[in-house]
Amino acid sequence: MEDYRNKYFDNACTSFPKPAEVGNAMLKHLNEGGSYGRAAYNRIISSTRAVEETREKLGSFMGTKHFSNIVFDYNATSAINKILSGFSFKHKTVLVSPLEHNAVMRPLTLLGIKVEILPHNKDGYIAVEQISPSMIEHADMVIVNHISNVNGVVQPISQLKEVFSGTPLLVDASQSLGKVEVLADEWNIDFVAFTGHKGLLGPTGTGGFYVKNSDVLKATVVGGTGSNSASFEMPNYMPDKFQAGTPNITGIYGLQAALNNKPKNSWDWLTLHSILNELKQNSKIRVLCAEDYTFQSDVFSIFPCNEDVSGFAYKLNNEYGIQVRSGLHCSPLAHKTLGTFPKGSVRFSLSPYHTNNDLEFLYSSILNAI
Amino acid sequence: MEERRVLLFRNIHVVIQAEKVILEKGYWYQIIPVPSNISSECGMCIHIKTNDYKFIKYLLEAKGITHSSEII
Repeated sequence: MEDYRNKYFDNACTSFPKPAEVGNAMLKHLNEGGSYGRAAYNRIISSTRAVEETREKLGSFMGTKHFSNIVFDYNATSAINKILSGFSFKHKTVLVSPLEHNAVMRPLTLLGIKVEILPHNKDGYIAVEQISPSMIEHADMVIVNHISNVNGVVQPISQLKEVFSGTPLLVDASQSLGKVEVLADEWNIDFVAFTGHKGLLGPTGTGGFYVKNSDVLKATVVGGTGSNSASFEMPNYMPDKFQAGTPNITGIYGLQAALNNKPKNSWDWLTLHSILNELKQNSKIRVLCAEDYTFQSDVFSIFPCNEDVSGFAYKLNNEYGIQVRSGLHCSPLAHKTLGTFPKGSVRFSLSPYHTNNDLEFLYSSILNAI
Repeated sequence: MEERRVLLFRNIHVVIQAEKVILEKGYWYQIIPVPSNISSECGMCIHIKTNDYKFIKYLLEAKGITHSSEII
């Protein structure tokens, strides 16, 4: 008898499955062709419309009316690199959440920027009330991983911006966009970096960033834009300023289809919370999740106390077909914060296509494997 | 022969925004390469009927879409 259970629990790595329309849209573009904005024949005009409609739709997903300030890039990492390398750091100091990914930590290290960790609870949730005035004064920027890719904690972005009203805030929305509310305008966020292939359910190779005020960034990647072509200088207007070269049009077709066909969750939060509660009762594992489930997303980890994390992940796959990622998840800082460095953890991340039955199968598989 | 006009924008992003506005109201238009005797930052422009220009201009301005125009 065929097993129809969805055993893929690595959606924080990349989402699977995608809406069927994603592949169809990409195939349509591959078969019909068309570049972006470089000429005025129908094939190009159609592709250009698709890119611009996707940009506008992304604006609604991230809560901004200023969708012209959304730039396409190939992933959040590339976008974060462009933001950080294009920003002028006066004090050479930034404040980061204790759950940052190496997509942030490595560029900061490369740039020689001093990093200070924001005060936080045991689960890495930022303790906004403990932020001191001196921290605010000398920080050039605050950088926050909106949802941790290790324990799934959702950070309090709007409260943070209230405290750091005069300090630029960069939100890494890699794990959050498409899953939880992102309100760039209302929260007054300065930069949002995003990827298309996780919570948005689009293809890999799509992503980018939103910038509230493009004047605060210089372009670090330059080239052809199809505009102001007589000049060797990059245009200073958006989105051209940060969008040199042909974008990933095929990927953007897929992303557009994903945005237009986003499914609702087929599982419920109570089931997930009850599974987390049950797992916490097991003395053989440590559960990495939010202390308060109000701030819990659909990502969590476990640390097997008496077993190697990679061996446990292998066992889950080999014996139960459960596909997960083990190790540090490119987030050594998060694991240092959570006390699981250098071994890391075994991470589980859900899809809207999972059902409560899939979650219960996951739970029983973990219990049997431990 | 009816006089024609082109609307000029700074980039293709704005051309597509303007096209959406014109399309919604059902005016005749074409996206064409900018005629070589006209100077424009963007290689594409929108060709419209001159008689429609005052209405289209109003719509574009209401949406905050900056443009210039030339008779061709």
